[in-house]
Amino acid sequence: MKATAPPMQRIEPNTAAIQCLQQIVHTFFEHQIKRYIMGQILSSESAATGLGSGVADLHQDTFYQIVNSDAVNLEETITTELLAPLTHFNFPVTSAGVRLYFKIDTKAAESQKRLAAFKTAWDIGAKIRSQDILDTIGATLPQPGDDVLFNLNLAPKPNPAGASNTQPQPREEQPTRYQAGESGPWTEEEEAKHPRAAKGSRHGGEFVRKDEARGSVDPLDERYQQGLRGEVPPHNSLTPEERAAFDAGSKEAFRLGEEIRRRQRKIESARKSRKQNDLSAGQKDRLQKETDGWAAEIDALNAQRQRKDKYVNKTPYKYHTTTEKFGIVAKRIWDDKEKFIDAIVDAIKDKVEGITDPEQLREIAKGIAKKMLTKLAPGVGAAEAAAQAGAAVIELGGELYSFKLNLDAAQTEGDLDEAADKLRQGMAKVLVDKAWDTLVGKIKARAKAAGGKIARGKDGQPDAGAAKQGGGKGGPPPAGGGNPPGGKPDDIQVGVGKGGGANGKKPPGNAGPKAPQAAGVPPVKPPIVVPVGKQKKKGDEENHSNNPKDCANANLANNTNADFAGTLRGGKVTLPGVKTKPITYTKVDPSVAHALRGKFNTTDRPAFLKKIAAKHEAELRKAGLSKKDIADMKNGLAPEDYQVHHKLPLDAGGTNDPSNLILIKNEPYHKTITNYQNDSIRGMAPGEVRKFDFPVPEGFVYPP
Amino acid sequence: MISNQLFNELTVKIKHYGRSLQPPSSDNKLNALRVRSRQELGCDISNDYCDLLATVNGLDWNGLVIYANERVPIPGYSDRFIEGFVEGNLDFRDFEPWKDYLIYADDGVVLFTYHISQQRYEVVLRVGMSLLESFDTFNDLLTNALSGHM
Repeated sequence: MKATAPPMQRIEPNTAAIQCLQQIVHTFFEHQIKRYIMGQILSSESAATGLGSGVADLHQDTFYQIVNSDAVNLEETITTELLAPLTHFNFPVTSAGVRLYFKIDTKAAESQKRLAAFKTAWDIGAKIRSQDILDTIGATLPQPGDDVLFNLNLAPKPNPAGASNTQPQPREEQPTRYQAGESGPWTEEEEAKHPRAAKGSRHGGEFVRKDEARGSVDPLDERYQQGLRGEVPPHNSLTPEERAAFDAGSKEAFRLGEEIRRRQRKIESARKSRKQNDLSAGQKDRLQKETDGWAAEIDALNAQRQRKDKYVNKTPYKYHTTTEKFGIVAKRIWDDKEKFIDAIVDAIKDKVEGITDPEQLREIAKGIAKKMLTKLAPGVGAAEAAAQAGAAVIELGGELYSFKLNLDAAQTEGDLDEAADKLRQGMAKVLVDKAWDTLVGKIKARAKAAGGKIARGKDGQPDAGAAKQGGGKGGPPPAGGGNPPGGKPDDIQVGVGKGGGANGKKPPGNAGPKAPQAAGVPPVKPPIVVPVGKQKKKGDEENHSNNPKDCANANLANNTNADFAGTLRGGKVTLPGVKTKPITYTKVDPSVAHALRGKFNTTDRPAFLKKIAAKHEAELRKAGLSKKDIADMKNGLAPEDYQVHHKLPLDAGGTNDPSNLILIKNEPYHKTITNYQNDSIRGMAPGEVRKFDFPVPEGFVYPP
Repeated sequence: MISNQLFNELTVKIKHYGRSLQPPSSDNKLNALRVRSRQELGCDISNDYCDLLATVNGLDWNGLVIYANERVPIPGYSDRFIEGFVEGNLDFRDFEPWKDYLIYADDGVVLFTYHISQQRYEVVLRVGMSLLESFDTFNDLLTNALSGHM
């Protein structure tokens, strides 16, 4: 038997399995590898993205993060392994301290996205830094001299002045005047450079702080523009907060200025005095440093104030508040001091015809003007000046309050000028009246010191009948007295004139004052005052009258010790503790009293009652007011059968200041006083000035 | 009469502070007042004023005094009074120029008057007699007086 080899069968390999394996390795594991290594697959495969699900974006973002990470690693590798050795090899000396970096731009796609975001933000009006955009696209700001390309359609229009700007130029990055904190009229060059800003922000030829480069506009100017469009009165568009802030700034600047001046005076005084070593060098240095600090603070505050003043000054006067108009007028008076002094000289002439030396008159006027001008100092600032001047005017007399009413109505430059003139004249007149009293008071004091005697009537009042004129026959007070030549304002001496001197002759020197004869004011007899330390002889006495209708010497009269007695219902009523006082009665225009009455009713009376109830409860209880009365007063309510009385009536220029008010029982006190006052002032016309002895209860409640 | 609103407001305030309104004046007293005014002051009083007194006989509120038909005590006090119309006017007439006025009320600063020769109601400064405001009717005058003291 023949052995046979087992049959061989060729079996063709089946590629299906291979393909299957290959598919498993390639497709499945590659997919998995990509997912685990690359974090996503959509960058290398196609797959369902789930329309609208954001899957594709997620994959893309992941892919870029990986690429970014790889790029950073590569940057580091090339920078440290290649770039550094190359730099060191090629520039062994000059590369010291220099480190070069290899950068790979991996933000291309992100840049598109950010630019789109910038565009969206731009469209909704957001402010974007140009540098951020340039950084996004990897560009830099052009420097002067660079050749630049840009969209002509969006470029500023060519120079209207005709400059040959055919080739658009990049904007030079020089600080604008706004940035430099400057102001002033625009130059032609600036107008040419910033045509849009020039068109939109030039008011009255003044440079307004508008920075076209930044597109920023001073908010005050914006609101001023609103005013010009009639949307709101320009001036009123200042918010109360702004107004308060500006005013507070002005006041603070003034306060600091005062403090600085005080310190400077202290330093100067110490320097001049014998005790100049009182202040050590260290102390002086400390004071000086403090002063310098304040000065810097003042500068800042003044800049703030000037900003507001500038805004206010651009606004038509009719929109100004009365206070601001007051400030403007006060500044005009300050700026033109000579005019004010002229007005005072005129007012003095009415009083002292005898002084003919113009220089002497001006010296006196300057002395009188000094106090008021200090109040009007421009450094105070408009608002503060207004407040100061207002207070001064109120202090001087309600006659000038009518000035405020003029200001209320003032709408034009001419109105303000007119108001300034009136205020100037009014202040001069009242100041002279006041100053004159002071001067006469000084002279009287000197006369007393020199041993002069004053004749008194039975009730202690200076008695006209008892007056004796030394030497000559006692006639009426003279119209002119002696005044030593060359005397200073404070040294003015009023001598007795005809019939008043020791020998009955007019003393040498310039004539003294005569009776005040302001325009429209009836002449008032001048005081008789003995020349200082000279002609005083036994029998020289003052001529005083106790008749309220004939109060020639009212302001010289000492307060009588006797209690005031008036009449009521035909009988005599004595008011214990109430004395008469000499007062200058300046009858005001009714509109002044009307305005003050309104304020009295609404604010000043309740405020006064609250104040005294809070501070003087014990005294009020002692005066007979009940606890309930006082509780009501604390609510601003007057007790029954009591009224609040003006010591100096509103009609006489009195104010609602608490010092001029008193709580008084109606019957019989209030009526007795006011009846007497009415009787005294009978026949006076508005503007007229007289002097009286008026019953003035002291304190805050009567009877106490 | 003055507006109900103003009067109601006043009444509420007076009560709020624990005070009382004066009781109304009787007709007899009002008639007597008319006669006295004519005889002693030489002028008739306003009917509106009489109507007011028929509601509340005088007022002393926050410094404002509206005269009563005669001097009457203020409720709650034995030593405080509201002045009578005729007496009050006679007191002022110690100063002769007031004879041309009928004074209905005063508040310390001004008098609320009827100016006889001018035939109008006037608010006049108590000292100085300057005219501040004028009205055609008593009620307008009264409204002005009260509104300054509310």
